[in-house]
Amino acid sequence: MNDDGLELVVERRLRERFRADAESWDPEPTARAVMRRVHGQRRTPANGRSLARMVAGGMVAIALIGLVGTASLLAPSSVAPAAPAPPAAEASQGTEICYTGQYIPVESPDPHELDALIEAAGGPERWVTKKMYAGSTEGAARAFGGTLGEPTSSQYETIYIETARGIDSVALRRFESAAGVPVWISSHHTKAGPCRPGPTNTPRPTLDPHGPRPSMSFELYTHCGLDRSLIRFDGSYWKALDGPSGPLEDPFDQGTMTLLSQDRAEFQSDTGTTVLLQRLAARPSFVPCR
Amino acid sequence: MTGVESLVVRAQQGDDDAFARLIVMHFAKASATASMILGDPAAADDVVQEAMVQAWRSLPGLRDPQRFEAWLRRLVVNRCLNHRRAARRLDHAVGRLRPALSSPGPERGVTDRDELGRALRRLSLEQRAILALRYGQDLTGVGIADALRISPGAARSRLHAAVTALRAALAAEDELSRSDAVQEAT
Repeated sequence: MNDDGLELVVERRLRERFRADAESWDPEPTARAVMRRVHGQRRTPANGRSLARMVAGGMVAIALIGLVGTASLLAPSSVAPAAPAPPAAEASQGTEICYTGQYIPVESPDPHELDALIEAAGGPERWVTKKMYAGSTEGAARAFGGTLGEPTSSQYETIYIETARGIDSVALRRFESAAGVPVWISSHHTKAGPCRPGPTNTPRPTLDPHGPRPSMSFELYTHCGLDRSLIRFDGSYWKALDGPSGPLEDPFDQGTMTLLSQDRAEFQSDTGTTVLLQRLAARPSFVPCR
Repeated sequence: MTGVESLVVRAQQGDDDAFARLIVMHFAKASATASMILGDPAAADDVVQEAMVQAWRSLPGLRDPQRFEAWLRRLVVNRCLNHRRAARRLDHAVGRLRPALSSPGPERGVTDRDELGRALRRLSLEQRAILALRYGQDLTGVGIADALRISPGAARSRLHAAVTALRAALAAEDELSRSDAVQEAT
């Protein structure tokens, strides 16, 4: 038999085996077992479309930047022996939170892999990678130099951080290892380093008026109102020129940010609402809300 | 919006009846895939259950309901590949605790059903996964690439390698059967 013929035989046998396997399983017992487990960890029912969209959009990315020579809180050593809780005074000095509009990958990490990371790091209550803290909510809050806030949803929780200016918040998404250890993950786009607008940080692109307009998926923080949120995009802060053209989701709205010109951008929500934005030369004053 | 997409959206919003229907709809393929990769029906059932529970937890993060089947497939395949790693880690731990006892290991604890089953067990987990995705789920190179998170080109070349390896494994099993038959006859 030539190679092609042999391959056909192999293929046929594989297909038959797969079909026989598929037909031999009764889905009901497994479905019942799965649903029993699912009921044991019921998610908070969605608040209409809002929760699903909010979670589907991932989470807001946060960059914590020490302005006064403080080491980045989001870049601990990858396998630290213990969660380094920064001294309270140091942690509260000028910590800036920057909403980058990025989000973490929607796919969950594998729980067994999380256990392997935790094991490699020497146990929970410590950083297991640069972006993952494994352990209690209190430990995670301490690791981020903050105090624990109220959960905002069943999918991700917010840790509030005391700063010199008041209270800012950090959203961390909670996962769980196969062994049941909570793991807190910040955005993979979160960067350590200055988060201030300006040519030394992010050079402005030269826009070709006839070329395609740069755009990116963007999660707009809306909870405190557009005039009370730090909107950061394309290396600058932005302010809304007018109110939104329609309703926006709360606390975040997922959509697309498009650079219209050097100084204008438009956020278009997935629901169609638009917000016209103007580039600012400097970081605006920011009055956070709870 | 199709019926499946509608169920996915409802499940994302917390409707567990919709999720149960999704499980039943996708169970056969998921189980047969896991079974072909792991070569162990009991382990396959465990893995599929775990994947389904993970799917429930992670479903709100699925942005495109149309992608549900591919997304679930990826969860199942990933779980299968990690299941064996976890089993190896467990074996290692047990071996350290009980060095005097020889553990048969998950591979040898499973009854070989037939020549094809034995031949498949000579292949790597990834090769079995590729064969299950190609010939069980009828995926092309792009679909296999998506499930394994590799490039389509890599998927095609690895598929070719898997088929070649399976043919060699079948030939080896055939040779083994012949020599057994000769020994029994003498």
